[in-house]
Amino acid sequence: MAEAAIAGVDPLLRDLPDEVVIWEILVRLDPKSLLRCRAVRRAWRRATSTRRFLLAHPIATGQDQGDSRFYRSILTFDHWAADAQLQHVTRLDDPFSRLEASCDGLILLRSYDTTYFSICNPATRQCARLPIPSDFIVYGMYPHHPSGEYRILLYDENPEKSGDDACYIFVVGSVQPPRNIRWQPEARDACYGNGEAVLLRGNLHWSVNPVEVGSNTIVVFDTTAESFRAMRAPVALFVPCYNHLFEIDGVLGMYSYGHTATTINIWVLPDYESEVTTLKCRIDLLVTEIEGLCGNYQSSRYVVVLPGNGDLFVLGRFGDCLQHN
Amino acid sequence: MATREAGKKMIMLKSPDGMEFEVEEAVAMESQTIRKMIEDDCADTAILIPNINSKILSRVIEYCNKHVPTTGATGAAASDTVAPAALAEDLKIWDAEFIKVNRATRFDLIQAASYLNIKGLLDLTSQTTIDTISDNSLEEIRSFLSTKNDYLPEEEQTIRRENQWAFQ
Repeated sequence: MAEAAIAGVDPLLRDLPDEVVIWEILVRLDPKSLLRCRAVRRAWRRATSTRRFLLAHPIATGQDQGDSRFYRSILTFDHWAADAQLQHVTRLDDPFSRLEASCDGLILLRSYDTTYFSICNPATRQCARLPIPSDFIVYGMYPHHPSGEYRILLYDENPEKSGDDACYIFVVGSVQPPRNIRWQPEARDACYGNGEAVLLRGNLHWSVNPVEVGSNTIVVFDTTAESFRAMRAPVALFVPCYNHLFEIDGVLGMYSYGHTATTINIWVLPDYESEVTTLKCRIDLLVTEIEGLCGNYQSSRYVVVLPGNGDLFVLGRFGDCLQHN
Repeated sequence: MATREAGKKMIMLKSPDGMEFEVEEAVAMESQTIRKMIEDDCADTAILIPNINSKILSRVIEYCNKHVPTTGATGAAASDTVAPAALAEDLKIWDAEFIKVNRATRFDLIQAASYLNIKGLLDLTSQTTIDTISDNSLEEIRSFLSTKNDYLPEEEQTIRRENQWAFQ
């Protein structure tokens, strides 16, 4: 009903409730028609710009073509819904090869031929190319509170061009090239991390691979001061070890599993300032039973932990099967 | 329905204006909403369908009767002799006839299909409006859907410019 209140007293269409117009009609429009219909009247524009159109956890899907892989569609997995399922959000005209970062419903994509980056709002199907050199590595995207801008943190490891490795910051919407903030030693460790950066308390966080880096740390980037530091991470229990960070109810968490992904350890950091993590739980994935259901595909086993409504969900991919606990 | 087979479970659907419709359980279960009620054992005797009057409810039942799979609803003798492709073609023609209704009825059917969660009927009834929005100019959309433009001319120009490609 929230949309009806936002849309005002005038219904979107006479004789049809706004809920039905939005979720049975507007939501089914192809991208071009959706963009066009926003100009019909104010209420239509508001209805197609609400928060519920913006989805926070984009996952990419795609198809193999020859030996390269590219994608056109954005899917979300709504793990809050009772009947948790993948939902198709949008289909893009330009295929992309990688979803680099996401923030407040905006997503940063690398083109299918890796020659350019673009920023996309899946809710409005708007995309724009960004003037970022294609060989830069994306570290993360964040709202820069002092300026109100969205910024992208980048890393360039091409020594031939600028002499040294360095970090850069690009302001979304700006025509200026990325600004060099010089080399920062912690930045290299983040390179060995797994998964997307986690934004919490104005900081971006990366888990690092303890084997590559030689220590258990979490790399932190302060988005206001725009500088790096390191934070203590829980002790690795597996070798090799796959660490990933997540955020739940304003608390930083980390999950970790070994090569076989039969057991997951989940830590949380209840007191952010103290940097003391506590082992929250240990989950046995009953791999034998799952493989009995889904077939045995060791190579494509993959696990993510998703927070939602105070609970944690373990979503695993075993072969072609999505297992949701 | 003269050939109703013995042993088929029947369900009573009641509209708020007091009409009762006896339908086969399988037909009623074309609606995911009703299916859930039946599966949760909330449907002992009669199910009251709120907000859907008897005129619209009877049309919804007509649709479900036609679309329920593997019963004789598509014609008693047809299922034995007619190929599936021909059946699908027959359904398409039937659907096209079914949706030849005025705007008010169509909107009532969209609401009913949405509430009762009948995907096929929802697709069928909402498609006309989707096509209206997709295939026409802004002025035509406003006119066909009886909705008025409340943008200032310069605001509309800005929105058009934002997504220039969508207007070409």
